[in-house]
Amino acid sequence: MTQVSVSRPSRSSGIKINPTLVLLAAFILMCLIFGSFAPTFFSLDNVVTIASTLAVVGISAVGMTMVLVSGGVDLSVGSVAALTGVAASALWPSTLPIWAAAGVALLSGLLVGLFNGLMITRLKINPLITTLATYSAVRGIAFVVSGTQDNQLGDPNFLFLGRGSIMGVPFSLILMLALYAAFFFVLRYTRFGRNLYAIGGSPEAARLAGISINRHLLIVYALCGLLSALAGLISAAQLAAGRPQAAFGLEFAVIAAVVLGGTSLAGGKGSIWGTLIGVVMLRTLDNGLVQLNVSSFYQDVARGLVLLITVGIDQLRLRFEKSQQRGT
Amino acid sequence: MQLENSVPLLQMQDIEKSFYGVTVLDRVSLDLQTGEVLALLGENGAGKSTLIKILNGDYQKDGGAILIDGKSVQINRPRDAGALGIHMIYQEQHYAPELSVAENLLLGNLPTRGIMVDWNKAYAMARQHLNLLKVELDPKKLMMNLSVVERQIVEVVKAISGNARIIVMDEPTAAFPPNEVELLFESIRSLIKQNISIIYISHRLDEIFQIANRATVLRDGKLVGTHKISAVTQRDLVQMMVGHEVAHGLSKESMSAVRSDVPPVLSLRGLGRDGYFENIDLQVAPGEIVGIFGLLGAGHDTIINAIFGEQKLDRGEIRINGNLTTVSSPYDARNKGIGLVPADRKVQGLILDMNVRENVTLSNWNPLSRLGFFQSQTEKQHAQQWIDRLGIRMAGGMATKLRFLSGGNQQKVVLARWLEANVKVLLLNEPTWGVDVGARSDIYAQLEAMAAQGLAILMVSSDLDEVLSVSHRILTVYRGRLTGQFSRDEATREKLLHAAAGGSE
Repeated sequence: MTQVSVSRPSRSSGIKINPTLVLLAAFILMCLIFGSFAPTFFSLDNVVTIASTLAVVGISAVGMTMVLVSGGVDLSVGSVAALTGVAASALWPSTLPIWAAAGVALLSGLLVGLFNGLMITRLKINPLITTLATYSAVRGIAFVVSGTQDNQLGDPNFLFLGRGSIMGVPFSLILMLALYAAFFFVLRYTRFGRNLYAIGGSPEAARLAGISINRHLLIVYALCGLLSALAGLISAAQLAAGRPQAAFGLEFAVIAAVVLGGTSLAGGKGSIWGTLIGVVMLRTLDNGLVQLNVSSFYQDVARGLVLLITVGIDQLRLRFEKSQQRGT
Repeated sequence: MQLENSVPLLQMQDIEKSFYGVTVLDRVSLDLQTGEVLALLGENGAGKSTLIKILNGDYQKDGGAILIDGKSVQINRPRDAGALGIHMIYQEQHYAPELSVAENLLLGNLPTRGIMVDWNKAYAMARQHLNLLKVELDPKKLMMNLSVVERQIVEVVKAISGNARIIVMDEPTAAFPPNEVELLFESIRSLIKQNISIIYISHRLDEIFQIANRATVLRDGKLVGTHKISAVTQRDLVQMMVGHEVAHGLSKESMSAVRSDVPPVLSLRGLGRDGYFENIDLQVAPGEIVGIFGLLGAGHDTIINAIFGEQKLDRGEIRINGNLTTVSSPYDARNKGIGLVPADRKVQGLILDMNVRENVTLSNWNPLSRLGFFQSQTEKQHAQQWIDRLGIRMAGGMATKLRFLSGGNQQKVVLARWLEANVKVLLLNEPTWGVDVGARSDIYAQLEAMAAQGLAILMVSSDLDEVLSVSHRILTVYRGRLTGQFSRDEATREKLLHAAAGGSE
């Protein structure tokens, strides 16, 4: 069969703006501004520095993208990340070899995610409330398990996870990019991914189309837990310790990056590449402001402003597109 | 009509409008007399909405004139229309569900004493407004506790309390139970007595014949004509709207496609759910379309929802191809080859922010994927096949989001999804509710074609014409029980209505 009508832009909609390209343009603009004020910004050292700090937020953001696309939210990612580091450091070296300890730590993240999923699908507790509860409880458990102190995680093989590099490229970055590629395929080319968009877009219609919503949501929260656990291990490897207060506020950085990347908090919309740009952009912003010697309080202000401006522009764009489409 | 020679209340003359170079209204004229109901008819995309939106100031006309009482007026925004006494009542209702009738009626002008709301005065004012239409409604009742019809009537009351002279109703009965339409008609008659004029848009021609004085028909942005209702038949109007004769009724081939020699695809025995339906026995053979007719609230839609696993079943057996089975959820139903086209396509049927292709293939995956990853080329071919077969029309190809399709085309997409999923049993709940005449006959033709290939179709409908034109066999339901069974040849409007109203044969 030969068709030419596939994805032809609609005649009536005049100009179409690709939101990811807008974001990319904003990112490049931001880099140029930083580069012109801080000469060291474009240095190889600085680029590597930025690259090596992407993975913790970036990997957790993969899970969060799926959660938001499905119409939910997960506030427990930071606590899960802290718990995994603590769990690994508590088990190593006395109880288990390092990889077994790391495996158990990952499993603990998976279990928290499954718990979230079960509460949300079986007891029908709102995701915000469910994960607010685990946000608090899991952080508490992390403190209890650690005895409220840092525990060393000095295994050199383990440290490679957070600090190693292959041909100058941070290993954590390679791992992260591999995950982005994998989950791009999951969201774009698998039934599971497509169904997530359907569930987020209209749970009622998705259910009546014969999609098992509970099964999908359970998997999504479990995956988010697992990916956040991996982020927690990378963070622990970077710190060379399991620290109960690690990854504090991670959930906000992650949600901000995902939303900045164009994923809708209302569900049903979003892309993994948008998230990647969002992650890189927020990390670069932090780094640039440090280069410019801006006080850390102003950094918080700047982060908030960038989020508001970007999402605000996106809303304007949506309204513009809707007004173009109407009246046909 | 005695008013015919006086100056019309409203004249729209040679109205022109185009969007991005596409003409949507080509010198369309319309006039409205004082105290009449003018039906505005046309298929989706004929230009009705655009014309009405120009009248309301939502859009600006490119050419032509609007006259009220013979004087030219400028309507630049909805507020101007309001000041001229033009009031819109939209299909989707806008109201505050948690507030009372009085609060909704007086929204923005609640009477106050000091900074407090003067409730006694508010309820008295609301009652006064409601009395204008002689409506018995407690102004203290919350909007969310009213029926759809009652809410619509509150909207009408709101319009006349705002001194409306012209009320435009866009598909006002789209969400009504059919037996309650009369309530709205009573209000309309009462409005006419008060010399208020109505422009009435509806796809339901039987309503037009009950309530309208004249009908103005549009097609493809052009005026086809304005006729007195008493001078035309439903068939005439349909022909004017569609531009050609519309065939109705099943073909001979379809009649002979019903296979009575093999076991029925779907067989129900003693199906019951407490408080909803009882003792439902029925069979649907391969190739057969069985219609279930009932007035709203008869429980007929609950029956198909229960077969689909969407509502629970207390008793009874379901057999598919002779094998006893249970259906625990829609997911389970789909796996067993049962599909449902739900009544409310926007909420229950479609993912509005996904495109045509994705919506069509949502329920069926296996033929499109290899090693768990789906093949986009195969998917496009499958979607294109249904777009062609059902005649789904959209501006931007299969990548158009469902949000931007007309009601009829949206309904075709829901249907295409289940046909693509290759189900054995297709359940339909009010399959052409709010669908225009042209799309309706496309849908009927496709149902017939699919049945001829062995699909078993069970359709629930409150639309007599629909049941009569596409069913091989018709059952009637009254208060959750089957009250009659008619072959296609025996069934008449009178018999069906009689049985559906609980009358004995």
